[in-house]
Amino acid sequence: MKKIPIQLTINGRKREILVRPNETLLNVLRDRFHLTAVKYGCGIGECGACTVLLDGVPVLSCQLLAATCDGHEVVTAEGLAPEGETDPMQDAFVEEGAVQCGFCTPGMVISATALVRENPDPSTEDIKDALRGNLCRCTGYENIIRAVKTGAKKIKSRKRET
Amino acid sequence: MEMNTKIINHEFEYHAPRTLEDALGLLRKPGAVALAGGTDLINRLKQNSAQPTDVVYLGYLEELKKTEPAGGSGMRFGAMVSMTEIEKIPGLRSDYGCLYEAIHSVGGQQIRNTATVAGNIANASPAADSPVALIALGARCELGRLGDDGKVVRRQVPVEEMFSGPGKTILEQGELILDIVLPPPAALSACAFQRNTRVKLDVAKASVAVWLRMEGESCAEIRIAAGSVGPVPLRGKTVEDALGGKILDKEVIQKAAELIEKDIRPITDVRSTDTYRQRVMKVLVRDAVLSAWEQSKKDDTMGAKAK
Repeated sequence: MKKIPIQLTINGRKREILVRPNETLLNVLRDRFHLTAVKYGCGIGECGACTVLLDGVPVLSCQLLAATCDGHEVVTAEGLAPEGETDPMQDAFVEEGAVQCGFCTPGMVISATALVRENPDPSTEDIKDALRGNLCRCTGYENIIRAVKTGAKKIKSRKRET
Repeated sequence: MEMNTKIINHEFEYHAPRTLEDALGLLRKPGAVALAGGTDLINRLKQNSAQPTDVVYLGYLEELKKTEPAGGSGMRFGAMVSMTEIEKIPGLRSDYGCLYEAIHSVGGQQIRNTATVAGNIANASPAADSPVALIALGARCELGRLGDDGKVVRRQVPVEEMFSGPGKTILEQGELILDIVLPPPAALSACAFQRNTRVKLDVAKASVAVWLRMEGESCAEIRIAAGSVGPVPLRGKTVEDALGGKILDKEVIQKAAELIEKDIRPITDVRSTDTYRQRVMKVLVRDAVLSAWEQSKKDDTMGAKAK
C-alpha cells in the first residue's frame, strides 16, 4: 500500500504529511496531531462527536479518508480561538451549563458554529435541525439549545463591536 | 460479525484522478470501487463488507460537480454535488419539493455536506431516501464508461431501473453515475414525500414519494414509489391504477392507498416488522397523495409556475 503525500491546513498551520490510503482524517487528527477534542464516538457517522470543519463546512472526520482532504483546510474545536483562549460559542456552552460529561461538546460547538455562520439568529427548530447529527449521551439538549442561542447573540454583538 | 469502527484494516491502492477518462479507466479494473462522499463506503470498509483492491476518489472531477437549475429542459446535477449543495439549487425546493424533503431527511448536516445522491443510488440500500423521490419524479441517471477508443460512452437509465437487489445496481464494472437528470416540471403537477422513523436521524422504517399531474378535477398522471418495503424501491402500481384518470377526493384517495399492500413486500428487520410496515405504508401513501393533491391546487406549486 503506497503512502500518499498530502498537504493539510490544520487550525491555520500548513502541514505536509504522508498518510496510508486507509487512514481516516479522525485518526490523523487524534493520533498524529493530538487534537483530542475530535472524539472517536461511534465511528460510523451516527453520533457527530468527530465533527470538524472542512473548508468551513461541518463534516464527520471518521468517515473521511485523510487522503481525500489533500489541499483542504481543517478546523477542530482547538482551532476556533487562539491558543489559550475560547471563542464566544465555547463561552456560551460553559455559561449555560451545556457541558455534562463533555464528550459530545466539541462536535456540538463545531456544528453550532457552522449553523450560526449561515444563520446568525437561529430558532429552536433551526438549532434542532442543524444539531440532529450530534448526539448527547447525557441527554443535555435543553441547555445545549440555549447555549447555541446565547452563542449566536454573543457572536452578533461581537461583530457589531468590530 | 466483529464490529470495528475505528480503523480500516483492509488495504487498497488510492487514486485521485484529475480527468473523467482517467477515472473511468481506473474503474474498469475488477475490484476497483468509486469513492464519492464516503458516508456508506467508509463504514463498509471498516466492517470489511467492502474489500476493494483500488479506491478511485471522484472529488477532483469538475465535470461531476456541475449543476443546472430548473429550466425548460429540467434540472441536472453531477454525481459529486453534495446533498447540501443540491438542496440549495435554485428551484429544487419549489419545483421538486419531494426530493428536497427526501434529501433533507438524510442524516445530519455533516452527512449531507459530504454524501451525494449518486452515491445514495449506487449504494442501493432498500431504505435509501432519495431514490424514492427520484423515481416518483421520473428522474434518470446518466451513466458513463470508457469506450475502446478512449472516449466516454454515455447512456441514460431511469432511476427506477437502476436497482437489482439490496446493495446491487445494474451498473457494470467500469460504469459510473455521472449526472442525475430531472424532467421539467409539468403544469398542474405536484409531489410529496413521507417517511417514518423513530427519531429524525434514523434510517427510514418506511418511506413513500408521490408525484401527480392534474387535469381539472381528475388525476391525469400519478407515480408512487415506496422505500424500505422491498429489496429495491418499489412502484405502487396498483394504487396508481386506482387513481389514474379518477376525480380525486379524500375517500377515493383513502381507498386507493389501502391497495399499496399489493405492491410492497416488506420484511422484518432491526428497524421494524413486516406487519408494521404493511400498516403504516397505507397511512404514508394516503398522506403523501393528499399532500400532493392539495399542493397541486395552490398557485405557488411547480405546475402553476411552469405555465
